[in-house]
Amino acid sequence: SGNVSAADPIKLTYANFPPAPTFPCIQMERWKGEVEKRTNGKVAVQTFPGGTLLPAKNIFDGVVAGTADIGNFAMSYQPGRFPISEAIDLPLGFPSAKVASMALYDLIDKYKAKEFQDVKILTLFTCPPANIMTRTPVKSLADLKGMELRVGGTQADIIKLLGGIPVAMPQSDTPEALQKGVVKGHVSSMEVLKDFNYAAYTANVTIADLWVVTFAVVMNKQKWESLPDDVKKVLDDLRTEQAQWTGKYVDDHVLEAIKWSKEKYNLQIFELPAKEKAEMPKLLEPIIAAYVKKVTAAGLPGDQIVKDALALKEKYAKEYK
Amino acid sequence: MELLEKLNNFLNKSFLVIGGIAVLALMTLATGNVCLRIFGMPYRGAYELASFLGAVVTAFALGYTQKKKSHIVVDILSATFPDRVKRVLDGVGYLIAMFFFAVISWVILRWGLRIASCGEVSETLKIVFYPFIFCVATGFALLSLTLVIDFLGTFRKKGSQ
Amino acid sequence: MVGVIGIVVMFAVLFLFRIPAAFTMMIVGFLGVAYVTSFKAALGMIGPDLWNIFSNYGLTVIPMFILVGEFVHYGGYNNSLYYATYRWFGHYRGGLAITTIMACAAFSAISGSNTATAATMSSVAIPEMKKYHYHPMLNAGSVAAGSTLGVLIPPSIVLVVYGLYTGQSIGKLFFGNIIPSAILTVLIAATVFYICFLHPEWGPKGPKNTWRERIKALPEILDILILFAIIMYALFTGVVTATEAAAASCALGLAICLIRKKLSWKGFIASIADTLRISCLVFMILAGATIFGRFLAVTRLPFEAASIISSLALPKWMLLWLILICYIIGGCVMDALAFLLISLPIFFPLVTQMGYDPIWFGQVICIVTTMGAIMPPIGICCYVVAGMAEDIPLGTVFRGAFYYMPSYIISIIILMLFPYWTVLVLSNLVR
Ligand code: NA
Ligand code: NA
Repeated sequence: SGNVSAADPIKLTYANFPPAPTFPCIQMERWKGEVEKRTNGKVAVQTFPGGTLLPAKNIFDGVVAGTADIGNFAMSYQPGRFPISEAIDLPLGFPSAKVASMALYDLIDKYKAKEFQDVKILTLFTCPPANIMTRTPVKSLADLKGMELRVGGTQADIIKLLGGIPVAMPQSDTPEALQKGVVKGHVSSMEVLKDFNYAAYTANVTIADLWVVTFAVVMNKQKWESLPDDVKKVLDDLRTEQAQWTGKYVDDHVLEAIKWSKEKYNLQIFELPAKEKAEMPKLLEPIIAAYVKKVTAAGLPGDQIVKDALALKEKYAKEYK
Repeated sequence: MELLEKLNNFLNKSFLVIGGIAVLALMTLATGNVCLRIFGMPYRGAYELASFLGAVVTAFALGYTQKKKSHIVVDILSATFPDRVKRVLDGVGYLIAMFFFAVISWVILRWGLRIASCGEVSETLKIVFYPFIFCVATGFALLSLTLVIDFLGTFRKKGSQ
Repeated sequence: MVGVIGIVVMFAVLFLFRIPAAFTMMIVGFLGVAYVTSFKAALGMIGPDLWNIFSNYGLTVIPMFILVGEFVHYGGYNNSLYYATYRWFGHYRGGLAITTIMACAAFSAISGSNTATAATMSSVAIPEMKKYHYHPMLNAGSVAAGSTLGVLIPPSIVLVVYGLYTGQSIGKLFFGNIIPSAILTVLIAATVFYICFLHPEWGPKGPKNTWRERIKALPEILDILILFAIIMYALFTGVVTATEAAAASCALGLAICLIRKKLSWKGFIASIADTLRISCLVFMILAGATIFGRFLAVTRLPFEAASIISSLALPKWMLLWLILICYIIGGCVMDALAFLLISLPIFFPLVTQMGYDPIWFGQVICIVTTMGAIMPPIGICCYVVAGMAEDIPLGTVFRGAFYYMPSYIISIIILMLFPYWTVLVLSNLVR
């Protein structure tokens, strides 16, 4: 309400779900800063971290309905809904967030995913690869046998195939469960060692580069159409750049978290034996096969999508060595 | 009117039975999972199923809770109003709430249909969960129906006075 | 501005109309969001929001704890519990109310939420204190104040949220909490003494019993003590999480009632019907507070209020009190936990920048948030107590609970005067 004059900035609301200090919100604040700077204050972004405007699983629908103009959400937490990005969720062994983010970006671009037809994609990125963090060292897959590990629900099958016992516990119960030993460890990207202080409970890491979680930042279509061309151009120019920035930021953040955990909790890092590393793709093959079967049944070229995802992984892994 | 009331009572009672079964299932599931975990084989869908059962528990009690007038009214001021004013206010309140929850029921139903059509499944078990969303929509529909009965009831009391 | 109008409208409807508080918050919140954004946007928000609250795993603890309370109640164990307590402490004025507060504190060590504590303890304590002629104000007030300990004493939703949102160690937060919660529990119990000093007839003295009579009253409550001991043991050895402890105590409670043939079929059905009814009313209040909180979030009122305060050039201690007052007001107009989520990103960096210890600040925030649950007009614990005690009006619960406000303030002052001895001495023991 009130008078709308040329001097009034265009207000955009941006909903996000994790706590403010985590990387999805840091990238949001960075994006806000860049947009406001590059449009010379023509656009003002209001950010809502921590699910204060929309809860995690309602962000996509909320943006379509217009509750928020922009929203960042994790595609991986809504299985079945974003079939193309699910290829990046597969255990393909992405070495870093930057590589996975760029692969995700290109893959969604190539297949013009129809699940996004109601929105404008502003950027796409992933978290760093998930690794195994435990109370007692895991030096080989044998150590993993029968170990209860907390995972986000979506990736439980991967842990099962590796011999562990996945416990799909909500994030809010995790600290208590780790502290008391209800679970013996957890599998996720490693920034949580510092961000949630999990290094205090699990000071052993086994590098396995299991999976990444995929995120999308989308904008309400009508809102996008209503923007002036120069603003549209600024946002379009930021798309790839933001994906790269976020990937690099969070990769660096993991390194920092590891350094911090080493100093504070004497974090130990282990690698699986070379033989087991080589066997991993074969162990995890059923998951990829199930994905191909599922999306092929839905009328998508499943085989080709996986092939493309792997090719993109190779390409960007070389590029960002 | 009487027929409507009978239908409403029947529905509230049946929903209460389903809700009761859900609450016992919730207890059994969570306790069972503790036992399974002691033996080193926890059921990984336990958390997810528990949350879906929880939704059924609350949603199916919506009508009954209204029928029992258990929702808390802040009547610090309005308790001092004359009876006739109170009854008019009650009637208006029922009417507003009835309309509101009918809309809510419809919104949740529509959103459930959307989840059904876009193929979203649950995170851990990868099962379709829209039927549970429909349960919540049904619960709100019954709440709305119960409010219709309450609204009509305010007229009856006036007549009998 | 819209936010302030919305709050005024909400209170006007709350007090003048006879629409349930949960419905009022939901309707005003919904219309507010529709006004600020659009009707379509509000519709798009409310459906999934309600689903999210109803299907929240963390909240399933509520029906479970209510159910175990009902089993214990209909199994007649309440009766025995309070009979035994009366034999032991009934000859002190307010003895049962103090016992209730201690029971709340003990129960809080199982439950992470104040609403679950309020619901369970109301079903256990209120009818019994009534039987021994306790005044409704002391009766309901002590349960409401005692139940706020649910979020203070670990496991605590507020401390977990605070830990996750600020990256502080949950272990440190829980350890640092021991002395503050002891202080508050003692102060709340002392308040009962004070109330009985002001109004001796509110908590009547019972006859003094011989030791023989006292000991004779114990075997009856042994079952419940065993149940409690098993659950506490499971909880502390890490066999179960808090949420599972609720379900397990439910199953065990039912088993004990059945083995002892204490629960009739009718009692069983009544337990379940009551559980559904009370869970529903608690969930609807939580949903109402959430939807209204969404409206305040879209108006950005809490964000702006918080950032104005953080930009003021004031001495450290004044700024800290301003922040606390902000939490108290936030606790008046919306659910305290929702306000915590909105305000922490703004206040936390400021407070640490001023040089306050984050673990210590967590305890202070926890006490303030705890108090919010009995602050009128949106005091969730008081709503639940009034919902359970059908013959005690909401106003009486709020007035009864109001006596305990100074104990929260005094606790905070003690924490401010002795940050080391109250918090850090223990939290520093944990890595
Ligand atoms: Na607690
Ligand atoms: Na409050």
